[in-house]
Amino acid sequence: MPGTGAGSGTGTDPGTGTGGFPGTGTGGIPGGMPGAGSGMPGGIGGGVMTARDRVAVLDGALGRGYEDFDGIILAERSRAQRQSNEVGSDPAGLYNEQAGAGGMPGVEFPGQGQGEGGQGEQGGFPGGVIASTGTAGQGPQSGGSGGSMGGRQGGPSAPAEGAYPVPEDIPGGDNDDVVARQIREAAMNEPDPELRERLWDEYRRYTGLLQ
Amino acid sequence: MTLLMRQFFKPLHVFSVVLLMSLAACATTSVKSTQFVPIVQGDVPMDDALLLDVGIRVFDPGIDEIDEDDLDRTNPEIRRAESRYAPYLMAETLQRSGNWGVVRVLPAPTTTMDVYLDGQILLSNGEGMIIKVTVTDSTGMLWYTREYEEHISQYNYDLTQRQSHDPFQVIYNNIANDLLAFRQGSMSDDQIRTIRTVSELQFAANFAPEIFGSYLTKNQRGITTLTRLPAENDPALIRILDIRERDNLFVDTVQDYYATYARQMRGPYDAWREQSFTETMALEEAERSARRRFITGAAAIAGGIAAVGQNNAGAQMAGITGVAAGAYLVRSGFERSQQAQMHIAALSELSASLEAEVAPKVIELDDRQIMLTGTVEEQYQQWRDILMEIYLTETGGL
Repeated sequence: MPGTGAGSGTGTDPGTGTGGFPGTGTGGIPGGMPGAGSGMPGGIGGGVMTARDRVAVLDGALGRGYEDFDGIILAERSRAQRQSNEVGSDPAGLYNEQAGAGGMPGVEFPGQGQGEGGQGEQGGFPGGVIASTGTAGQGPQSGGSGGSMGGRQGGPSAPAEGAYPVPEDIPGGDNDDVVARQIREAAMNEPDPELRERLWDEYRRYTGLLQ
Repeated sequence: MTLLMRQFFKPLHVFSVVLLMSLAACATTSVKSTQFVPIVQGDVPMDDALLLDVGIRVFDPGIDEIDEDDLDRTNPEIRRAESRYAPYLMAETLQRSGNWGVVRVLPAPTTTMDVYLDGQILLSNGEGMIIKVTVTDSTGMLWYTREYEEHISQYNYDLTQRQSHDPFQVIYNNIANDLLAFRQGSMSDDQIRTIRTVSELQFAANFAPEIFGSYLTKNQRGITTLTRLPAENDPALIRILDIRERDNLFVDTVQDYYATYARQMRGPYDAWREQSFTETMALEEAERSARRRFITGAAAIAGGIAAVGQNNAGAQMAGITGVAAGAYLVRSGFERSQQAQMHIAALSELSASLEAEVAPKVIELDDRQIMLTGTVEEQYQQWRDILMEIYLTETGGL
């Protein structure tokens, strides 16, 4: 396992747990896989912590791992969406003449009309898009499961009012595409200030505000 | 006179019978689908617990199943590309039906779902498609194995048709409808709940076998059953469900890769299929025609030779004519065979062109999956260690 190192534990004994993974990642996944935290604090056998305390600390490490994971997935999905946008719906140019936005044959996206009784116009986004099924502060921050193909529940298309204020440099999201809207909503509802700021950074990058 | 006529016509009569039999044997019934089979939408269960999640594995390209005769008209690289394209269309179709929970193309065989759909492509040439489908559930029960065959007409390649669906959309709709029919006809609500519980605990057991391995047992027939159930508020289960949410996100991310891949492939693939359709039809016609000419030519020669052997001069003359006509037919049969070879060469050229376009995209798709899988696996390993440490702490193992 790459990046095994001494943890910087917060317990009374020096931690010897596995440290974070280096940020180099494997093969170009953006950002690599940062560590879940700062190693297992307290070390094994540190006599001060009770079992309950220890479990709480380990749960904290797990939670930080989730945040990192969510951030990585979010970044990866943004990257995938950017690539999808670059490719376009009809890269070969065979269908644009009449189909407009195109899309996959046999796949009717919301707002494009329906063929034979398809479902999904209530929510799901077209392939390659994150659907938000998670509740703020609960599910994975990058949107909940089941989004790519419409998802089981789909996601709301209208921007929701977030639980946390929008930074001053962020303009209104009226022109946001689906991904930008998802990142925006995730950021507005992210209780962790550090992760929230990363989400806003991702939003700035995605929408070109940093250029 | 009557006897003379009878003698004269006897060999010709035999020839006619042979000819008719030959033509009858050669007759090919090519049924082209003209009716679009829509997706059937079942009664959607109101209870989320009854919605089964479906995982579709990358199809077997069926390269090992290709007949020797078909090897020169089948491109393995295109089959590999199709083996990733067809599952995506299948997943889209099932998801659109609204009859299932989430439907995903699975990035790894170990990804846990309620129902698994495996496919093997047995034919795909633009004119016809045959897919062998096997459906199982998380308990290991085999639902069924069926072959789906569809032959289409030029109409399916009309721009208006292609814009609304894949030329072979009907095959996916048929698979989706059969899957629904089986679930409705053969699975009780209790069975569905069991499948969902098993898949949940399978994920847990795969992730942390020391903690969750004892909840399931597999019998000699490979069927998994529940041994016991964890408490609903079991903290270990709650943690594992949080992790499963993340795993779902990972699988969703892979769907994004597939969506892009399918969009990249669609245009050139459709163009290839349309051209392949034309060449395949011409090839089949040339082969049929050649075969027919060989058979009728050979029959004419045989009949003619028999007639030449007659004592009657008229019959002999007819026999000579028959042999000459037969020889002509056989020669034209060879010409048709050469035409067929030209069509095979054209197909090969078309395929090489598409292969150059899609093969790198297949590699890119696979690479992205492998990289992301490796990344999340690293994270998973770390979570496994933490879960185990928590478990040991809570159970007094530390």
